[in-house]
Amino acid sequence: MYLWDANILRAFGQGHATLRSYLLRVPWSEIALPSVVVAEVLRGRCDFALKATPVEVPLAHQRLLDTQQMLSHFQIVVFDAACVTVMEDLRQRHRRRQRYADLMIAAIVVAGRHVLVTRNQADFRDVLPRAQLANWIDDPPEASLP
Amino acid sequence: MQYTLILTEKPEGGIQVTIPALPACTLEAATRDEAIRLAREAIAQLVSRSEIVQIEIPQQPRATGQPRGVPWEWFGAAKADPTWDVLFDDLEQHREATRDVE
Repeated sequence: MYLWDANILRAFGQGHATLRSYLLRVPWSEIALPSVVVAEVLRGRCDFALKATPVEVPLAHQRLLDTQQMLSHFQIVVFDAACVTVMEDLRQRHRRRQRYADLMIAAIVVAGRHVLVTRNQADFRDVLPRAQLANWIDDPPEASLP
Repeated sequence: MQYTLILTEKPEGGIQVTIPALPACTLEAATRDEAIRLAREAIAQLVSRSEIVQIEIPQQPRATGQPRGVPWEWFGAAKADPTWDVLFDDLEQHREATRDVE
């Protein structure tokens, strides 16, 4: 399963051309979002909906619903009990300071033997093997898909 | 127990009896009274030979989200939405703020 980091979801909303060429090659059933990214995106939309100025509130609430609808088209891989152990192991083995959400995402990827699709290779290079990292924005599909 | 009968006059004469609760049971009769009598007998006979058994079919819950195909209607849908970029910029800031915590 290819798990998308938030920056790939961002590119999806932007209609990125390279991402489109991947989507034409990879079955949608092989693509999912980690529950961490879903939580982050919904938190952002909820914050906007609850903290917007009165004039912005209609837009903010519409965007919350739009985003929720978009996310409903994705499969979601949940951070489950197995991921807790993996995450703890990753924290022990990689002393370099990691970002908390990145570690949670890496744990989901390792526990489920998935491939993480992200533009942010730098923050995952230490915790994930090269074979479990992909960049569908900067690398052409001919070079990275089997 | 009450059963609903649908009595329909046939163009060539007579009455067709339909019992919605028992779709396999259809009757024809010459008059309305006969139709009701025959239906009563047929239902009684059928019920006396039947047993009602209820079974439960467990639903197979699908994994979150149903992968049908790329939702192209959402691809590029936020292109003209400045709040989309703000959303992900904020998200990155939130992640970055946790780096020192680890």
